[in-house]
Amino acid sequence: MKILKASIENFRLLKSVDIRFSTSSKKNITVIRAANESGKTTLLAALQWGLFGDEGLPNKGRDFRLSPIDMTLGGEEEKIPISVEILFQIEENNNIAKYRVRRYVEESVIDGVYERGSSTVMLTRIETTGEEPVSYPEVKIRRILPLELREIFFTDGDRALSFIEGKRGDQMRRVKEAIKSLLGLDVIQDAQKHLKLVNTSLNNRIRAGAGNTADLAKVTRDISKLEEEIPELEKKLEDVSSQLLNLEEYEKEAESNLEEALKKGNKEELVQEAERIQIKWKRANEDVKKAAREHANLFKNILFGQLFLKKKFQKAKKLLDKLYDQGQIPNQTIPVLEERLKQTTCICGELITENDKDGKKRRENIKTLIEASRKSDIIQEKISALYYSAQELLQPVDVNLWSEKYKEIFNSKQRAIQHLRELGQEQRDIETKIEKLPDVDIKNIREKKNRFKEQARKKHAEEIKLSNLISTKERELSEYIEKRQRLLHKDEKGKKINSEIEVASDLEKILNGALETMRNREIEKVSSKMNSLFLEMIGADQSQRAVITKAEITKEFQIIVYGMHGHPLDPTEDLNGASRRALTLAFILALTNVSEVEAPNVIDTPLGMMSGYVKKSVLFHAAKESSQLILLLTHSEINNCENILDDKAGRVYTMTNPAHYPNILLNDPGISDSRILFCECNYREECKICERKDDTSNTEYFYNNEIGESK
Amino acid sequence: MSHNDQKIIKVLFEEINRIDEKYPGYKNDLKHLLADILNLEREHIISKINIVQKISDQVNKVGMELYRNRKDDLEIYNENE
Repeated sequence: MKILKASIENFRLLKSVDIRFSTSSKKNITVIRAANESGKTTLLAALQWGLFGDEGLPNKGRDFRLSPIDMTLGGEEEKIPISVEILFQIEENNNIAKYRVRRYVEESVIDGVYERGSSTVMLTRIETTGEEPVSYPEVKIRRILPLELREIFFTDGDRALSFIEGKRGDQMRRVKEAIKSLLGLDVIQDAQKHLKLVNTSLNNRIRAGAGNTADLAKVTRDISKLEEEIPELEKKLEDVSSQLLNLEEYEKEAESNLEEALKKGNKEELVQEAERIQIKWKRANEDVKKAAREHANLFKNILFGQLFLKKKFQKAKKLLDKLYDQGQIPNQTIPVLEERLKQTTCICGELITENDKDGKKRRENIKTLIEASRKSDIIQEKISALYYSAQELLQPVDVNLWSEKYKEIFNSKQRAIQHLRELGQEQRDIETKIEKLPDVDIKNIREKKNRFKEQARKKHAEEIKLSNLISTKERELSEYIEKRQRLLHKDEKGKKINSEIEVASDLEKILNGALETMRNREIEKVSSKMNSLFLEMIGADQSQRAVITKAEITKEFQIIVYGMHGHPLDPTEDLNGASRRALTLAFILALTNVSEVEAPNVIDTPLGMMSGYVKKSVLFHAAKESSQLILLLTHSEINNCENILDDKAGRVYTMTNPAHYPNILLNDPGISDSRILFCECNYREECKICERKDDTSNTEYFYNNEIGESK
Repeated sequence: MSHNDQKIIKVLFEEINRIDEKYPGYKNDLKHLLADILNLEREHIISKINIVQKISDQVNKVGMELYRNRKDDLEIYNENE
């Protein structure tokens, strides 16, 4: 299908518009240049309404007024006519056939409230002799371009991102739906479903006619039962698989919430850390006290006495040593004298016997000495005790010993105090952090994550159980079907119905095989095509160690991108805006290419967020892969792509919103109502209608009016 | 033929070739039958038709053809015997 022309009347801001689209295969692009708020999205909506009716409108047309917003009529009698007429061509029986579709509706608008009836649609086939109305126009149009393909062929850069953004389950469902629609998988699935019902009705016929054949009656009953049970189980399995996907998604989300919260700070962990520091602080405080005690003890230490009373001790030592030398310390005179009395001679050699007169005298002298010694004994004892006990004190002292000990203990005390101070500071910092933390319940998030994990585990087990149960039931069903076949072969009536069953069974086999082939081979083709297109679009040169190495569609319909060494990347987080858009466009183009469906790709703002090589490359490949490409582009999207458009654009229009005067537009369009103006200026031209102020004056205006005011 | 039915038909025909030719022209009859089913499915999306009954009727036609061919084959076999 190619769109040749569109005429739009009173469709929102498009009050009277005629556009011809390029149908050339070499210059297959039609460019509609328009600034933001200049009708690009409205034009996209008008084309979709023309082809698909209200189904093609946002929210299926609910709360979507079609008539221009500034058109208000006087009474109910007056109606605003709205119409979109599209001229298109398709290939029919190896010939090109042209059709004209015209959709028309009226809206009454009273006091801003609109009311719209049902639209009417007319389709005519253009013959050389004139135009022939086509009966059942909606049926014919849907056959040419089914509604389910609308979102693929009529899209915008942001909406296309839904294939790789949002919840994983939603992404996969969208990709699956797009593939199903474009490859026609749903039509095969519908046929499978209806063929199953045909089988059920055949089985019912056999059961009804089974009469007294008990075996046949039983086997058909069993078949009916299984044919009811299996689809129910399959539906249940589908639900469980979808729930599992969601749970995995929720778990992932909770995991990322947890990571996010932990990045900001874990209150629970901080409180625990504060408690740990408090314990450390108590220990450090004990250390400080101990060091203080040691420090105090240093002044009670003997070394301290030795060091600071050194001179006095030396003097005392001299005296005591003298006494010692004199034999006064210890007092040993008495035992020596007493021992001598037991002898006959004195130490000096003289006699000390009682018989000798001099000896007796000497003996008496010794006794007197002993007596005298006994009298002075108490003092001597004390001196002796002092002498011996003071020996340690009186030893020569190393002056450095005490000061080193002092230094050591002092430093240790200082270290303990410093450590205590640091812990105190740490404690205060953590308390400040805790105070500043938002009230995020990390424990709750963690519990939530674990709950999802546990639920996902259970769901996975349920999924496996259901799969096994379905396999068992299917095996049973095929056994019963074989048995039924054997029983039916017994008479002609049975043989007839068996032939029908055989045909239905062959059809089922064909449809199952086709679906499997489409799912595997064709999706693989889409995946491969998407990969090559995407890598070319972003200029990922594998020989140059490209960061992105591969993109693929998994069997579960997820679009995945790989980085270096096959490391999977999350398209939402790891790809920049340009690459994300390139990936989704590559997917759409690959899908249309593989499906061999010929329809125009109408894309609103596809090159947003792109620049340089990627932008040019995306434009080049989009043109190459499309049979007809209608692009709604802003001025900045076109910027630097002019050369490609010179080669590929067959038609170019510019849409201008007069309301942009004087902010953006240079000239007063002289229009009093709200409507989009069209001109045929191309991307290098400007006329009186579309001429814009240059960027500098726009910036100046913005500064003076917006920023200036806010100052 | 609808938008992408060419592609589907191509794949379906590949699958038909895996089926036994149960009588001369059986595969061809299946091809027609499947093309009809696809058309019915397309019609069913946009208009209310009793699609199961319509498919049943088509299946019945080919089924009867299969039955007749088998019966003829058996009669020929019995005659030869």
